[in-house]
Amino acid sequence: MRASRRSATRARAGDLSFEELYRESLADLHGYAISLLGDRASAEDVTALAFERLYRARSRVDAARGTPRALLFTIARNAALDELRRRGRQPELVPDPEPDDARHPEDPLAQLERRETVRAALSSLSLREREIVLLKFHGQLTNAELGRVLQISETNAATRLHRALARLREHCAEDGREEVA
Amino acid sequence: MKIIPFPTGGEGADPELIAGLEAALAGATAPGADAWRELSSDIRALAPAIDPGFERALRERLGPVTAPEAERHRRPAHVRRRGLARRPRALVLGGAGALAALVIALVTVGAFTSESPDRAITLGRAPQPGSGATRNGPARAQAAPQLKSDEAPAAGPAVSAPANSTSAGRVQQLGASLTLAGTPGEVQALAAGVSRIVNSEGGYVTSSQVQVETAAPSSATLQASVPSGHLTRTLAALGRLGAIRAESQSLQDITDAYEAAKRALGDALAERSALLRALAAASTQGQIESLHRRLAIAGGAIEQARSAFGAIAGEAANSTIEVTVLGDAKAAGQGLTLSRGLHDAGRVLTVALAVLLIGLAALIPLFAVGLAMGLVLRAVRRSARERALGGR
Repeated sequence: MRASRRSATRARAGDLSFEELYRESLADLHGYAISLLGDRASAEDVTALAFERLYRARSRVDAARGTPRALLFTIARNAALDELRRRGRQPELVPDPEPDDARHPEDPLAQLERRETVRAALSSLSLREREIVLLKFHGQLTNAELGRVLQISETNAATRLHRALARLREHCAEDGREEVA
Repeated sequence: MKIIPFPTGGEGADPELIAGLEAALAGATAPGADAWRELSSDIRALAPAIDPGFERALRERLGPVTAPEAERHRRPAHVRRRGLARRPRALVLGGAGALAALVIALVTVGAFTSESPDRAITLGRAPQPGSGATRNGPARAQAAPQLKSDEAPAAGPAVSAPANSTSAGRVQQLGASLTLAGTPGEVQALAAGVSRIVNSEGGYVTSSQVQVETAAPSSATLQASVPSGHLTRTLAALGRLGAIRAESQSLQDITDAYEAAKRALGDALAERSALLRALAAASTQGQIESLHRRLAIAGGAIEQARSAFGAIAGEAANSTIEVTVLGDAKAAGQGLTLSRGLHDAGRVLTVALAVLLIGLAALIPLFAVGLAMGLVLRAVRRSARERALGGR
């Protein structure tokens, strides 16, 4: 997690080579795509397409228009929305993760339970709200980068993110029916 | 009990909440940062892990760009060259541009350095020993080789050096004719240029006729006289005025006539001296009157001989030049001088600029329409994508 944050920070600074960007962003991008599309095959297509397009356009990338990582997520988002439009239906929502005990070394049961709550809350969000939450946490994007990806202002992005998080929290509270710290 | 420990916030955009989230994701220690990070971890953990098969396939598809740096450097040179080979369009465009530049440079240099075949032959022709000079033929006539020039040929003249008016005690009369070509609009200016050059060389225009017509080819004919010593320079300067269609030089040996006139003058002077001496020795009135009559006749003969001698000496001292200026579109394209080259280059640039302006006039509206269509398409596509998210 800490390493991912570090690489995200470096990617934001634009000092990653394409190979490094690929290595550091592949899992995050794939996670974002599969969480948004709910379909592994489509997510893989979107992930591959985003990397290929960014590679082809790497010589024309304008640093003033955003970091490579933000650009990568912009391409992936557009491709994912095109895929959703083509399918003409809503995604399967957040897919169930494969059980992986190694990912929850401490108190696996409580963690699984909590993640189930988060999954259910995410699924209850509208697609637009879910998208911004996924971009924020998978992409590790700043609000300014979120604004660029969504083609809205940074303030607008922050407002949308806040509303989505508030809704997420509400759903978590409803689902958990317990105190929320 | 399910505890969702991410921080609370109001309904509106809470800057502190959002700033806390930003700080938490950036790894900073802030109140609630752990909760944000835990939420982030939970959300990221919800995504299924990437399929190793897909990862391998994607790495293969992206090829060497995703390989570690060290591995890339180990690849053979022919593999590394693929980077350039994968940009054939850039190679083709670059090559075509370089080739076009080369062709233009060659054509330009060739045009400025080469002479027309006819001209090259003319300049390279060997002088005809003892040839008689012609005055007005279209072909160029060279002076006899035994004639010694008192002037070096002018640097880079369009006209060859003429023969001198005197050579090895011979007295010769020089003449030249030159046909210049220009556009109909240039005839007047070329004629004025001929006059200017002739005057600047110490000569004068003896006659001129300029005919400018809008429906027919224009022309001008000028006869000029210049000091024979300046003939070479004058012809060179005239040759730079415009394209040379034809030139000729003539030489006429007038030694005999010169000597005859000189002798006649000498004889007349000698006769007058003899008459004066006889007058001094005359003793009778009849002799004196007779000698006076003869002296008067001898004086007239002296004047006549002096006039004839002056005329012949003038013919040797001055050369006649006949310049014909033709103004027709066909003539404008012939010959190439530096000034004409510059003039043509200016015209080419003007035409190119005009074509560019016309092109821009046509392209700008097209570009504007294209831009507008592009913007509309982009807005439509964006709107469609937003609709995929469930509308705005």
